[in-house]
This record gives sequence, structure tokens and C-alpha cells, in this order.
Amino acid sequence: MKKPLHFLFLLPIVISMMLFLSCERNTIEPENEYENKAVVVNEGPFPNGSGSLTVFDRNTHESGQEVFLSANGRPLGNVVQSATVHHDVLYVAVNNSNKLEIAHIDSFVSIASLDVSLPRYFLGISEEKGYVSSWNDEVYVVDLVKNRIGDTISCPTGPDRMVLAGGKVFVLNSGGFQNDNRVTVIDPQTDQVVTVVTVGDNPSGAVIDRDDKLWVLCAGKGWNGFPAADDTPGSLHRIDPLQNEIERSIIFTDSSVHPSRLAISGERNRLYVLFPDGVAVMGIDDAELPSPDLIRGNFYGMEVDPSNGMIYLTDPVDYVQNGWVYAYLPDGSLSDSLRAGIIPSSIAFP
Amino acid sequence: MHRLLIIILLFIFWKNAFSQETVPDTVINLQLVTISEPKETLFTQGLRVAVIDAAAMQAPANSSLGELISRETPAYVKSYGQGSIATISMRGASASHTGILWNGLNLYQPSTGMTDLSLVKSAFFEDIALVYGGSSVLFGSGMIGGAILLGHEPSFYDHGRIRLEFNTGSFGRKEALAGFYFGKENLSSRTIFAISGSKNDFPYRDPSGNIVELPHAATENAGFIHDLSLVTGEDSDLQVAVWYQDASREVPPTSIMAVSEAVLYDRFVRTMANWNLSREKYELQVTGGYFNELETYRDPLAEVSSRIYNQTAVIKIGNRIVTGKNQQLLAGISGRMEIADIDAYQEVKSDLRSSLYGSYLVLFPSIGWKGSLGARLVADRDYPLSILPSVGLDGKISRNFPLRFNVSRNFRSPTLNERYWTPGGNPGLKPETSWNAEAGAGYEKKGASLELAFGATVFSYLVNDWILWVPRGALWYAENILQVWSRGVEIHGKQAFEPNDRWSLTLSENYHFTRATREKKISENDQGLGKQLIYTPVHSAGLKVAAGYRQYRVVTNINATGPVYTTTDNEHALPGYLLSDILLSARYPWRFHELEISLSVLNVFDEDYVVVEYRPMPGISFLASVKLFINVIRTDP
Repeated sequence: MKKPLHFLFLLPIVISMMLFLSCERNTIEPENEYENKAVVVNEGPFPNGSGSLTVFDRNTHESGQEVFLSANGRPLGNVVQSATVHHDVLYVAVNNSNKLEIAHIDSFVSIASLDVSLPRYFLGISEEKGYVSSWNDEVYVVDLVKNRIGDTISCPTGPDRMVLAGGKVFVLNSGGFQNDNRVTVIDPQTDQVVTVVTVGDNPSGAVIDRDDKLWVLCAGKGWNGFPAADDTPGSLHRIDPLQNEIERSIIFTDSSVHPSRLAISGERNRLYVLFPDGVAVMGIDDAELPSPDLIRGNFYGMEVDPSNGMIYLTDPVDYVQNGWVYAYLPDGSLSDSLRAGIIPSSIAFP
Repeated sequence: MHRLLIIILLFIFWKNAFSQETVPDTVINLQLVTISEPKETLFTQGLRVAVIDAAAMQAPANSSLGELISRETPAYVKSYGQGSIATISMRGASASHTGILWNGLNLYQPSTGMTDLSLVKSAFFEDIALVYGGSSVLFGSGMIGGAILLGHEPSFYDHGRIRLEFNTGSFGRKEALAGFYFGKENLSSRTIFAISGSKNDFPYRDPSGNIVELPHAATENAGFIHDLSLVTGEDSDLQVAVWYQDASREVPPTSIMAVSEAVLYDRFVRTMANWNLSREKYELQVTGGYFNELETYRDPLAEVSSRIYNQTAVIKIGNRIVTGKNQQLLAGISGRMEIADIDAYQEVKSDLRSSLYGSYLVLFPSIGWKGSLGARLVADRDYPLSILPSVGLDGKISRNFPLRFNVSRNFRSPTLNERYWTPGGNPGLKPETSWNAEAGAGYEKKGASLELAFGATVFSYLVNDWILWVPRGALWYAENILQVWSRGVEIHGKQAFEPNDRWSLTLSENYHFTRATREKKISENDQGLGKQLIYTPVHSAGLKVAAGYRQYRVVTNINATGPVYTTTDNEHALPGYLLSDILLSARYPWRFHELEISLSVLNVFDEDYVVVEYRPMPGISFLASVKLFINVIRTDP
């Protein structure tokens, strides 16, 4: 008689334990599940306001807002320019708060907060070293073990996006608050400038293609919709990163329309260029860039998920409310959308 | 200087029975004074006029118009910090929808359509009143939410007075004021100098929870106003005024920025001349003004340097004719030239405005009612002709129950920035227009020692073609894109009790409920439709208790501001806050002179709050003041 009673007594406890454990399994995410997630960088309102990070599932597109604030109890800062994932760590450049925030990619808990003047982008070079570009016309070397800023590399104006190609770092000189037309090449072994390549006005995007060539997009000089006499057209340049030379240039015909972003497909054989009224797509061996007909609309940021080729386009609406990120399939059809924060501008893929 | 201070301090300990001799134009706190409404409101039937208490205007904490209005009225003052830019929002309308009138002339800057209230010194004016509601028919562009009237009437009687004031307070706040008031039968002169500054290095809690001192927030400013009136004939007088102000303000970083080196410099000279002819059945007023304003902003860290140079020339000729036993006609013409020189315009831009306006006032003295019908013909150079009507009614149901009613059409012309800013400005913008309606009722009773007043107003207005800067592609464009509907209820009360000539007690309370919502989408996925405008509190309330015993006075102001949204989809909000201030003052007369000392405690409960997101505001602070009123020549008015 005792055994059945025992059993009856224990059963509810066992059942609730099972429920509890199963609940736990749903809420605690294993550490490496973040690979299914990506982080939207929301610049935040300027000048009063903080940017934020939105985490989303790359398959289901479920999103969670303000993850840095939730994890750390403090806002990221003003004008969050970019975020980059490198060896399981998230590096966030908060431009107007002059900070490089370093946090765990899975929990977003802060590891360190470095003082950097006007930071723009972070590039991970090795497990111990990274670079951060600054509109102070400098690139700073970051010691990723001690999480400290080390040497300074002087640069032409407005060092911006950076890519690693051919064992070297190519830094786009966007001009900062002015205009520039150069790409600085830095040897990461010595932290010295090797050479400077002249491209078109306002280099704004850089990707590496399947043949390991570096493509640079230049926006050209001028405001979209406000043509002026000294406007120059946008252009695309294919650079051989071993020789540091331009192999091919495509100069766009209309000098009053300026592209803003460059992305490459998942297989790294198709280039996407974001124009004010849509996205244009071009094969890397094609002769010229077609009109922006793949996806029509006006968007702020463009990113491609390297694992599945999904094209993400951001819409900040009026820049004073939570924005949207639209997910498009490589054929240009709309798949899904998700809510982001204020002024979503780019996405960091682990 | 120090010796003089010691002599002044000695008077503090010398008690005198309070003298019954009242000194004209200084603080009168033991008599119930019937404050007459400014003459501009003669034809604004149905609109609520709230005259600001003269004593409040003299409180050291209310040194600037922004501080005065946020403390004494429920109108929302958007302040970027102590001494920083402050703009007003009345009834949910933006700062460019509220007019600041100086002796009837609108002070808005041609480039922005707004006025910075932190640059207007309360002490420079004798009369400050708020008019709630739309009054474009009488006063022109930009009078949709309300108006602030600043004025000073001449004092044509023998008097000669000097007013010296020195204030010092927390965080390096200092102010020195010297006023010279002189008059005779046919001459009245006021000259007031004011110099002030503050370090503003107050402690605040940053978003990480650390207590830090606000860096780079010092302000320095100097100004003066000179107002001269002359009797020019049996029934005419001429008034000339010059008003100068400069301010150099360090712009502090927000609480999420590490550093700022930005500096804002302002300097303006405003001049005006007014000739009045006043006969039994006819009044003519010719007013001219010229305003010259320079503002430079430098931010070495962001490599930004901008210069804004605004000039305005305005002329107004108004006639008031008594056309019948109980009828008056107001007819006027006004012309305004606005010029702005800003780098972003690429060349100097101007605007030329002119209007004809009129109002017909009918009085029904037997039942205590007044009604007016007004119209304005707007003939601006760059816009088609338009006519705006208004109708207003002011009356009473029995002696104690006033009623008000007003319906009007109002407008705001696009500013020069909206038209000519490159890139994005649109010279083809249309003026914003609105229909405003309001109705009010109340209860008033004035007894020998008790005065009671209660009132409630409901209002609703719809603004069409509201101009917004919207992003299209990579650029922002000014467009007549929005429709805004603002409606609400305003409740206010005042109880003044003066049982004898020693004691007095005044309570005033107010509550404003304002729903101002966007009624159009600016793009397909705009989540702002139907949502409250940003930085527009729905709830706002205030309580003021002023008690006086002989020459001592205690005044408490408690202001509650409800939460405001910072995003147009209303998904982010700043918490509401409660601010309490106390003023303790004592006056010591000696012969015909008077000394007043006071201590103010601001933000008594050390409330941690911000008005604009991430712009720190000070916690508890103190302000001590010594005022000396020296009567050189004295005659009763």
C-alpha cells in the first residue's frame, strides 16, 4: 500500500519538475545557438537619443528589441554606426558617444567599453588584434586580449569601412564630413600604410568576390535630388588586392543619382548596389550595371546574409519611430519583415 | 563694492513697521491689484487671457521668460538645460505656432519661425500675459496655439527710481541688474541693464548610474532695454525702445556622450517706435520695428560652423474708431519684410508679407456681453490672397458666471528654412492653416477680502498642411504633409484671501489635458497615425500657494508634467516629473526706499528629471537675491 501512495505523492512533484525543466530548456538558449541569429544596428535619433541593437532569428525573423539595454541596464549611446562579430564577440562603434562597446554575442553583456574618438567600423584581423576606423582621420589598433587601444595609424580623410583582402587591410576613405576618393592599404603585420589607391569620389562600400577580388563602390559627389554643377557620378571598381591595382572600373552614367551601399550574394558572384529608388544586381563578370530593378523602393541600409543569400533592406520611416527591416529572396521577391529600432542601418552576421 | 554690500546687509537687521506708502511699479504684494489686460486683447473676444502676476515676474528664479512661463503657467516649455535654448508649446502646437509679441510686434526669427525664450529677460517688461488659442486674424502668421504678450506702458508722472538687484545661486549662477526709471508729466523713461552667467556644473546621474558633473555648460549673457516715451501733443505720444541681448553658451554633451566643445553665440538688437494718437472716438497707432539677430554655432569636434543672420522690418498702422454707442471698429494694415542670410541658403533670402485686418466689436453693456467679428486679408508676396475670419463672444450669465466662445481661422507661413534650406527646402510650400474653436465657462466672485475664480475651457483645432521635414530617399524635404488635431480641456482656479492689511493668502491651481495627434501618414508604413505628437505632454498641472504677512512672503510653486513621447509611434516615452520651488522673501522699507532679500530653493525634492531626452537637468539648487529700490523722486501716480 505504501508504494502506490509514495508514487502518488511523488508524481505531482515529478511532473512539475519535468514541466520546469522543459520550460527551462525553452528559455535558456545554449551558447552556440546565436549562430542562427543576427543583430540589427539601429543608429538612434540624433542628437538626443540612444541607438540600440535588435536581435533576430535568421530563419523565423522573430525579433527582440533593445538587447544591449536589457543586458546591461544602460543605453548604447548616440549614433550607433556599426556592429561586427569577431570570434564570438560583438564590437559596436558608437560614433557620437566616442565609444567602442565590446560585448558577448550570445548574451550582449558588456565586456569592455573603450574610449575611441568618432569610431566608425571595426575589423577583426586575428584573435589578438583588430582595427577601428575613426573620422579623426585615424585607424586605431585594438588589442583584443587586453581590450585596449594601442597604436594609431594616420590616414587620409574619413577612414570608414574596412575589409581584409590579400592579407592586407583596405580602408575606404569616405572623406568624413568632406569628400575623398581613396582607399588606404595597410599591412596588418606592421600596422603601416603600404599604399593609397585612388578610386572614385566618396567610396562607400567594399566586398570580396568569389575570385578574391575586392570590389569598391563609390557614391560620387553630390546630393540625390539636388543636382549641382560639380557633381560626379557613382562608380564600381574591381581591385586586385595582391597588386593593389584597379583592374576594372564601371562609371555610372547619371551623375545626379548616387548609390549608397554595396553587398554581395551568398555565393559571392553577384553584386547588389543600393540606389535611391531601388536595388540593382550585376554578375561579377558582367560588363555594366543594370538599372535598379531587382527591388524597387527607397531604403536606408542593405545587407546580405552570407549563409543563405537573403537580402535585407532597412526603412527608418520618419527617423523618429521604430523602423523596419524587409527580407527579400535573391530573386527580388519580398519574403518577410521585422520591426527594428530607431533608424535601422546595418546588420551584423556572426 | 563690498562696503556697500555690508551697509545693505545692515538694513536686514533693522526692522521697521511696514510702511503704507506704496512704491509704484514695484512689487505690490499686500493689495489685491486689478491687473488690467493688455490693450492688444481688446478685440480678442472669447480667448482666455492669463496675465502673469507681477510679483512672479520679479522672482529671481524667473529671470528668463522660459523659466517664468514654465513655473507660472501650465504651458509646456521645452528646455534643453539650465540657461539653454527654451521654446514654448501651447495646446500641443509647436514653438512656431506660438507668437511672442513685443508691444504688438511678432518676434519670431524669419529662419525658424520661433523665439528662444531663454534670451528674453522677464525684468525687461512690465506686463506679460498669455493668450490661449488662435489669434492670426489680429496678429498674423504663427498664432495657432497661443501668444505671449510682452509690453510696457509709459508712466507719465513725476518719478525717479533706481532698482539694483544682485542674485547669486548654486552652480555659479550670478545675475546683476540695474534699472533706472524716470518720468515727468510728459516723459517716461526706463533703462534696465542685466548681466548674468552660470557655470551649470551641477551633478547628475548618468545612464550607468554614476554621479557626474555636467561639463562644458557655462553661460554668459548681457543685455539692456531702453524705453522712452514722450508726450508729443495734447493727445499723442511717441514711444521708442531699444532692446539688446547677447549670450554665449557652451553646449554641454548629452548624458550619453563623453564630451562636447560646441558653443552657441547669440546677439540681437530689437528696436521699435510707436506713435499713438488718442481722441475721444478715434485712436491711431503707428508702430514700426526693426530686429537684427545673429547666431553662430561652432562645434570643433564635428567640424561644424554655422552662422545665421536674421533681419526683420515691420510696420503696423492700426485705427480704432468708436462707430456707435456700443460699437467699435478696428482696422489696420501691417507689412513685414524678413531677410535671412544662412550658409545653407546659398544666397540671401527674403520674404515680404502684408495684411489688412479688421475687427468689429459690439458691446451689450446691459447684459455684460461683448462680441467681435474679425477678418484678415493676407496678401503676402509669394502666396495667393487669403481671407481668415474669426468670431468671438465674451459675456456673463448673471454677475458671477463668465462665458467665452471663439471660432477662428489661423495660419502659419512657411519659414525661410522650410523654403530655402539646401538641400530639401521647398519654395513652393503652402502656408499651414487651421480652424480653431474654443468655449469656456467659469465662476468669479470678488468680495472685500476674498476673491474666487474658477474656469474651464474646452478647445479643438485642426491644422492642415502642417509642414514636416520627411526623408525621401537619401534626403529630407520640407512638405505640407501632416494634419494635426489637437483638443483638450484646461481648468484653472484662483482663490485670494486678504482679511486685513497684514495677512494675505493666494492659491492658484491649473490642469491641462491636451491630445494632439497626427491625422495623416507620411508614408505607407508610418506607425504614427493617431499618435500623440512628440514632446507634447497629455497632462500638465500646477499649484501655487503664496502667503504674505506684513513684509514677509512665502511662495510655493508645484508643477507636474506628465510623460512625453520621444518617438512618433509613441513607443518610447520620458517619465513625468514633479518640480517644487519655494521662495522666501522679506522687504524692509526705509523712508522712500526699500530693500528686499529673498531665498529661493528650486527643485526642493531633488527630483531627477529631464525635459529633453539625455539632457541633464539640475537637482536641488538655491538662489539668493538682494534687491534695492531707491526712490529719488517720488510722487503718487
